[in-house]
Amino acid sequence: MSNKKEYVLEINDLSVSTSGSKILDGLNLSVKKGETHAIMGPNGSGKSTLAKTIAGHTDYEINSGTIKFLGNDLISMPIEERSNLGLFLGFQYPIEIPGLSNTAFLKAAINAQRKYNNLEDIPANEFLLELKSKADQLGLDQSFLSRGVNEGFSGGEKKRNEILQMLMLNPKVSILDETDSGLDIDSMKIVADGVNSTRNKETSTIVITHYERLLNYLEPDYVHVINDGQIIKTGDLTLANELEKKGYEWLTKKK
Amino acid sequence: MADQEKIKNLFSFEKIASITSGKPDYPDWFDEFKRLSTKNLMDQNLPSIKDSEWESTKINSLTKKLFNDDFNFSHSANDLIVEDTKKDPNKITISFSNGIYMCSEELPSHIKILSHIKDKDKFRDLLDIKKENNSSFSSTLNSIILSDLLLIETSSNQKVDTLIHIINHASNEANLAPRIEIRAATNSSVKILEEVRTSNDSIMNHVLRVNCQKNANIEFYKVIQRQENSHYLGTQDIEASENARIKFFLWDFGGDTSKTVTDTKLLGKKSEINYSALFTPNKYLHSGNQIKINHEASHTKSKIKVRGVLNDHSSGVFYGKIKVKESVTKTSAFMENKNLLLSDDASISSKPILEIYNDDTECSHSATSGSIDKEKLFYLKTRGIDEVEAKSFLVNSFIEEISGEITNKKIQDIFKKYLVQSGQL
Repeated sequence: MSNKKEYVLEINDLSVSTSGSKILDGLNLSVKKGETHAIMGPNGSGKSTLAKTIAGHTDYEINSGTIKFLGNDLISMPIEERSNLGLFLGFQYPIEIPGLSNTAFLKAAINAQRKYNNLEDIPANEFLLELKSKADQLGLDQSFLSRGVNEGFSGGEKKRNEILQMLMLNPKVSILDETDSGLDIDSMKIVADGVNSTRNKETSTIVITHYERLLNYLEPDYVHVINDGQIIKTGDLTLANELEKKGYEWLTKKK
Repeated sequence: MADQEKIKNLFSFEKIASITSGKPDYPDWFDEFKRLSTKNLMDQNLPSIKDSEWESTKINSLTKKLFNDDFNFSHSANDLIVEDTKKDPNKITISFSNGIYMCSEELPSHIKILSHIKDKDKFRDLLDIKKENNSSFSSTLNSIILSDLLLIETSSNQKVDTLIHIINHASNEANLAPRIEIRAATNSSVKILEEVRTSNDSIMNHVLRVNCQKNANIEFYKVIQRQENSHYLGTQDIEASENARIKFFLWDFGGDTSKTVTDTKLLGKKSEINYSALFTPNKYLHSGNQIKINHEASHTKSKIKVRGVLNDHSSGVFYGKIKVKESVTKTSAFMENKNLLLSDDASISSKPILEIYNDDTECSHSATSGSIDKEKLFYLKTRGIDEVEAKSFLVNSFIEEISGEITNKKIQDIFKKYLVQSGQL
């Protein structure tokens, strides 16, 4: 049996700017199948820019570098195709869409993925059973499913709704952008359990966070520190524990 | 040359005057009514985009059509496909083709089609010459062309559960002036849905008068279907007595010209109106929506919620005005207009106006216009949904904010049918 794991995401020398300001500056990151990576770093260091750039947000201009996702050139790929191939972004600030029910939205998302993979639409019963079961797992009341997407949800409910979408879409690579922010201790446990339930040899996760608490639940394989648009240190969970105690200054202080 | 002059040059009043003479079946009083209406029209200022009420309205092709073409009122119903009016115990369909009533079924006593010949006394009671003096341009023109009239009149305490479904259909090049009078007596209720179907080069100059008596309840839903070369002018006068409740919902798909003017008077204390409108023109179509609400009694409530979705080169107008009289207290008025522009070439003019002369009121007004929210679009796309479907979801969710005002299941189904038919707006 080979120990050699495949790379699912390979970012090389990525430089990105928005509104004329350079945010990412020659960033490198490689993620293999089955791995969990945590990205930490001070505010404004480029964490969310990295997440949104991978997902394809048009506000971010790629100045140089390459991103490969499952061996494909990600930069030239339409946003929806990235998702259909198995990329998921859990939003830091999930968007409210009143008038579009959570159920209709999720069904459209699943069927888009199935269509991309030349599969028939999901049978209604199968979809609803799965949706209810996943909502239960996350402690989301059934009433959330018929409400507008994130409409009137509390901060914690929105984040759990992101995880619900992740569980339903079963992505190969998930990027969770500060999914733990605004969560109370119990909700964080539920979210962490939700994320852990998707982890296996086939799936990879990138968690962007400010806090070690979530990482203690997730036990990432790598912890990266990003500053000024570059990864400046990589370690394991002990690095996150160290950051919790010492802050970032010892790493970011210009020598 | 001033616009006013340009429009005046299009007029030939002889044409209008000719309508009032040489019609052997007109009773004298009807002839007199039309002559007076014609005089009223001549005394009026002609519609001009310089008037605030006609501002931004696409008016030129309408006036050209109105005053350059020969008036021909001898339309037949033969060339129209009449709706298959399947028997539905919960609905009664009243279908008009070119103003001619098309259904053979016997109408219940609260619905009457009045002919100026057969029902002249009743007809005469309804046409108030004094009122005509103060009528708008469109309404006066309706009086000149008017032939028959639909009257829906409930008696005291009558609760009409059967939906009244009116279809007004104009064929190609028809020039029609339908008039509907709704009178809900004390403590009665009625639900009405009207569909307006215009055709190529047709003009429909529609007048609706609603009178809602004490404790009465009226729900009125109206759809004006899309027709590229048609013109629609709607004049709607609504009066509410004490504790009367009126719910009005309008969906206009736009026309070469389409303009609806609704004038509401809350005359009795604790009367309420809930007015919702949606306009969705595309291509080069236009839709104008004007709503005025006068709070003339204390403890009255009004709510105006209007949404515009404009695609291609279409244009729209929202003009809303709420007036609270000085002597009137404890009123509540809410006015909101939101517009979604789906194309860089679409345009909207929005004017929400409050005229408040008594501080003892709760009022709010707002108007917003913008294109599809790109963050919402990004969110949907990151879930694998393609641009076309994502935009369609966002347009529908925008419409849903207002179609949610329809609480009647049967009417909801009919509107859903329109939503599907309208496709990509």
